Amino acid sequence: MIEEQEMVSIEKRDLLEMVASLRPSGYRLVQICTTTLADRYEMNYSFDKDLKFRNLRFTVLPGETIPSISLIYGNAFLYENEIHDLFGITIENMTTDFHGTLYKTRIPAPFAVRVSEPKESSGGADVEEHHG
Amino acid sequence: MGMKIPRLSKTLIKSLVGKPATEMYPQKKKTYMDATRGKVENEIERCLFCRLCEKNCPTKALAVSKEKNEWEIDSLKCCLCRRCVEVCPVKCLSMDNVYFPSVRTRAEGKYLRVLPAGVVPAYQKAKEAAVKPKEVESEKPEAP
Amino acid sequence: MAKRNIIPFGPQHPVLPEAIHFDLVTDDETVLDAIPVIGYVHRGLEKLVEKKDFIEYTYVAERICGICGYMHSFGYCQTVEQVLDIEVPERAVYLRTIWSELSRINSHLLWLGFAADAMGFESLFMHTFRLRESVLDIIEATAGGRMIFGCVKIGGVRRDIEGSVLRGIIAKLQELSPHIREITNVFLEDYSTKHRMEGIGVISKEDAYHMGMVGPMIRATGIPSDTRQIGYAAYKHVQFEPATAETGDCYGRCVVRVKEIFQSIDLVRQLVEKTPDGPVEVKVKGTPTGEFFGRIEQPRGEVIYYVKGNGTKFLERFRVRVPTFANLPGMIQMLKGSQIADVPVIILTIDPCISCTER
Repeated sequence: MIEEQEMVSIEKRDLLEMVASLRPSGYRLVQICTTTLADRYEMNYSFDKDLKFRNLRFTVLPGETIPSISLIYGNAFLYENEIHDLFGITIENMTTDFHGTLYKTRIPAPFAVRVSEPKESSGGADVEEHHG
Repeated sequence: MGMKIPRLSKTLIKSLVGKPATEMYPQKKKTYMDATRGKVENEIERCLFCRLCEKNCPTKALAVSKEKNEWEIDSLKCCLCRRCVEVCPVKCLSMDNVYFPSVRTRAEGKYLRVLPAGVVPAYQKAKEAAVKPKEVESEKPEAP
Repeated sequence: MAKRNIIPFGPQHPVLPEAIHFDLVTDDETVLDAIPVIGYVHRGLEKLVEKKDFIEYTYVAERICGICGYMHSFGYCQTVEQVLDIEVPERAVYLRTIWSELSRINSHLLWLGFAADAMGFESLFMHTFRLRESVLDIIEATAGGRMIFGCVKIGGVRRDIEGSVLRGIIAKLQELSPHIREITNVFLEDYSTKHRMEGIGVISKEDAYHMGMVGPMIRATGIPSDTRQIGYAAYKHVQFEPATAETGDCYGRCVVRVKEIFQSIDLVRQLVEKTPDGPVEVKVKGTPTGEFFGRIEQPRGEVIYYVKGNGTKFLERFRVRVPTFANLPGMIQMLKGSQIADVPVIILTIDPCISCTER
C-alpha cells in the first residue's frame, strides 16, 4: 500500500458533529464524493491533515436530505452543488446555492439511482433510452 | 538615471541576428521523431482477419471482414493510441511516424485494404501448413 | 455616489485558455463579488466507466485534459494497481516518475508563457514557448506524442527508454537550464512584471488552508505542503524540499513555480542516476474489487482519484477531484476587493484547467 487510509463509517445524524470537531484539529476538507449503489447513495467525506487521510462514510436513500457543512468548511458549497446537480440529492442550508444551474445537462440528474430498470445491462443502456 | 541594459539583451541580440525559431511549414516538410505515433498500416498478406484489433480499438475506428478479406480504418476516428499494433497476434499492423494526411470529406478519411484476388490469405496458409506434415508422415513408412 | 455594475467575464476572453464564466459585481472599478458559472466543457466522462472496461478507460483518462493528460493516466493506473494489488517493476516506476517530472516542467513553462501574455508582454511569451519546444521534443522522442503521451498502462509502461537516451535527456536539460534562468529572471526581477504581480490577489495562510487550496497556491503562503512527500512512485528514493514563498500574492506563486522548474530538472537528474535495469511491465490478471483513494501531485496541486470496483470488468465508480476545483473558492475570495484590471492576472495565477474541473 502506498499510504494507510482511515475509513470511518458513521450515521448521517452524526455528520455535523464530527465535521465540527475536525475543523479545530486542523483537518482540511479534501473532497466530497457520491457513489450510486444498487438502491442507495454512499457519501464519502474526505479530510486530510499533514498527509494523514481520513474518510467519513454513510449511506442515504433516494429522497433523503443531507445537512450542508458549508458553514464549517466554506469550500464545501462547490462539491455540494455538484452532487445536487448530478445525483439529485437535496442538501439543505448551503451558503451559496446555485439551484441546479452549475452543470447544465440534458437529463436532470444523470447519475441518480434508476429505480425502474427494465433490464440488467450496464447503466449506459438506459441513458440511451432517455435520449430516445 | 543611467542607461540600464535590458535583462533579455542576450536573447534579443540572438533573435535579431540569428534565424527564426519557427519553421516555414508547409513549404518545409516537418521531420518527425522515430518514436512518433502516426498512421496505422496493415500488411494485408499476413493478416489473419482475427478481428482482435477491431474489438480492442477504444474509438471503434477499425472494421474487419473475414468473408470479404477486407480491413478498413477510419482515420478521422483513430486517436493514435497504438493499441491495435500491440494486440495483433502476427504483428502485421505497424505504425508509421507520419500522421494521417488531412482530408476534406469524411469518406476520404477511410482507408480500405482488400486482399488482392488470387492471393491466398494467411489463415488458409496456416491451415494448409498444419495439414501437410501429417501427409508426409504417412508416406514415410512406405519409402524404404 | 458609486455605481454598481455587473460585468460578465468570459467564457470567451483572450487571457483564458479554456471557457469559464464569472459575473463580477463591481463598484466603479473595485470588484465586490464574483459568481462563477462553470459547465461549458462538461462531457460526463465519469459516466463512461459504465461502458468502457477498466483497461480501456486508461485512454479516456488520458484525454480528460490536454496539459495534465499524462498525470491523469498515471494517477488512474496507480490507483487501479493498488486496488488490484499488483506490483509494478522498479524500472517502470522510475520511468513513470521521469515522465511526470518532464510533464511538470512543460506545464510550468506553459503557465509562465500565459502569465506573460496576460500581462501584455508578448515577446516574453514567445521566448518562453520557444524554450518549451525543446522539452516537447524530448517528450516526443521518448513517449511518442507531444501532449498525449500514451505511454502508461495498467501493469507498467508501454515503452522503454534506453540508457543512452536517458543520459541524453539530462544533457539536453542542462543545456536548457541557463536559457530558462535568463527568461525567468525577467519574470522575477523586471520592474514592469513585478508591478503587475506584487501585492495582487493576496490571501492569508489560515484562509488558504481552510478554503482547501492546494499546490503552488498554498505553498506561496508559506505552508510546505506537497503530496509528493507521501512517497508514491519513485519519490521515496529522491531528495527534495517543497518550494515555498512567503508573500501569498501573485508574485509569490510565480516564485514557487520558477523554483519548481529547476527542482524538477534536478529531480530528473537524480532519477536517471538511480534507474535500475529490468522489465517494464507485468501481466494484469483478474478484475478490481475494492476501493482506494489515490493521490498524486499534479503541476497544479493535489489530485485525488477514487476508484471502486465490484468484481466485474466495468468499474463501479471513478471520481477525479482536480486541484482547480479545490482552488476555485479561494480564488473567489481573492477576487473580492481587487481592481478590475487585475482580474485576468488573478484568474490566471491559479493555473485554471477547466477541462479537468468539469470532466
